[in-house]
Amino acid sequence: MGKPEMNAIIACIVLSLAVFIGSTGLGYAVYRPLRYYDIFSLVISWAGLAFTMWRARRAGGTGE
Amino acid sequence: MAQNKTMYYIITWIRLFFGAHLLFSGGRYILTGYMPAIPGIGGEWADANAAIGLYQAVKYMEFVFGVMLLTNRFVLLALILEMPASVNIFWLNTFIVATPRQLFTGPQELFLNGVLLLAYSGYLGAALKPRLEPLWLWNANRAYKDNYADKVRAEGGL
Repeated sequence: MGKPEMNAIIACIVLSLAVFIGSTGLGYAVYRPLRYYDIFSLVISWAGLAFTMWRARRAGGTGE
Repeated sequence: MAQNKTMYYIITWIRLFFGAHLLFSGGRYILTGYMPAIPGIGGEWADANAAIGLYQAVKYMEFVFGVMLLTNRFVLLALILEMPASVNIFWLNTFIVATPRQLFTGPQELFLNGVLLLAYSGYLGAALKPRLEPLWLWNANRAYKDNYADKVRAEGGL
């Protein structure tokens, strides 16, 4: 895995943490478990990112 | 792929997240008729929207735009058409409802739609000229050339 992929994954982890904290209220509001709404969106976005990276790697980094 | 692979991947993640977010929101309403309980005047406003059919229209639109974002088809059009709803959600959650969690979800909606719109607006930017003649949508081929604004103006619009 190259540096651009690693940087993107780190950024997307930060975005996912923001979604988690914002939705659950962790640390700033009454805690509420993560909704199916957010779980659905996070699963789709991570699965799609993994697929996009896999496809680019398979095409030798020249996909899209 | 892209000139900046890192940003390409991040924007792809955000596109899929926002697409799934819209698909779930619209799909849940279509399948179950679910409307979140919104306190105060914000709830009255949402109820009024539902009474005139606007709330339902927005939910069906969200579902369609979610499909467009997830399938990577007409993404810029979906982002432009969703923006009014995103601004409404931002305003309602941030300034009207303003409970702690809504202070996050309101700006989140505008952030997702706004960042994606910026990321895809390079095409739109090329069309934002200070002086444009009217040009019918079905005559768009006349704009696919260098210096198109001046040429169309010289030739006559529409």
